[in-house]
Amino acid sequence: MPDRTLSNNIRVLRFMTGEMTQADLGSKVGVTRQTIAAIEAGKYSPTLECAFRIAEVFGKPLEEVFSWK
Amino acid sequence: MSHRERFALVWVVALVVVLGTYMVLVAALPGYDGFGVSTKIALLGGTLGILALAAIATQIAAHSAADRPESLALDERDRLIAGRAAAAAYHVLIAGMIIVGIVMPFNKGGWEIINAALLAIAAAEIVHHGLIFAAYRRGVRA
Repeated sequence: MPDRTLSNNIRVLRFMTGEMTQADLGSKVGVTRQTIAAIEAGKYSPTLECAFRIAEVFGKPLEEVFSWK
Repeated sequence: MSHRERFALVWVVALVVVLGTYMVLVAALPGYDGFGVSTKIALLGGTLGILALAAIATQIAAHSAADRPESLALDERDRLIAGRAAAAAYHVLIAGMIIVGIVMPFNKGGWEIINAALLAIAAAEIVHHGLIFAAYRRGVRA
């Protein structure tokens, strides 16, 4: 099975929503700033629930925030 | 660096330095076997006391440096990292306890068993917090 990785557009979406800080996003989603930083950097794959919450904050469908390539 | 990552690093260093010094003293100190019980208890108590102080000081420093009070609460990533580290440390601890509690009583006794138990606990703690530090540094996959 070919290796695929989970990537995301959180950095871009934060920029597009008035340069929302990682801490602000974290508090809206219910995780720490460090966890948002780890997700952005690809060092942590969030749970499905957390991924949906992040997408909800940006008002985007899940596949516009996360991709699996 | 999050306060949990910082605490894990400092705690591993404290364990290695303090308990390492104690173990080297126990192994290399001439006449350790001839010491009285009170001397040995004082040596062990002093070591554990220093470790307790190090743990308290590290926790206070880590908490005061936490950038937001809510970051002290565990989130899903913290719980995943803590759970995996605890599972690995459990195996180290159980192996140590089998050696200390089942094997050693047949041919060792007294302080050798106590010190071996301390070593097993320390090894499990080092694995636990070492893995926590590594997971925060290198990332973790669900």
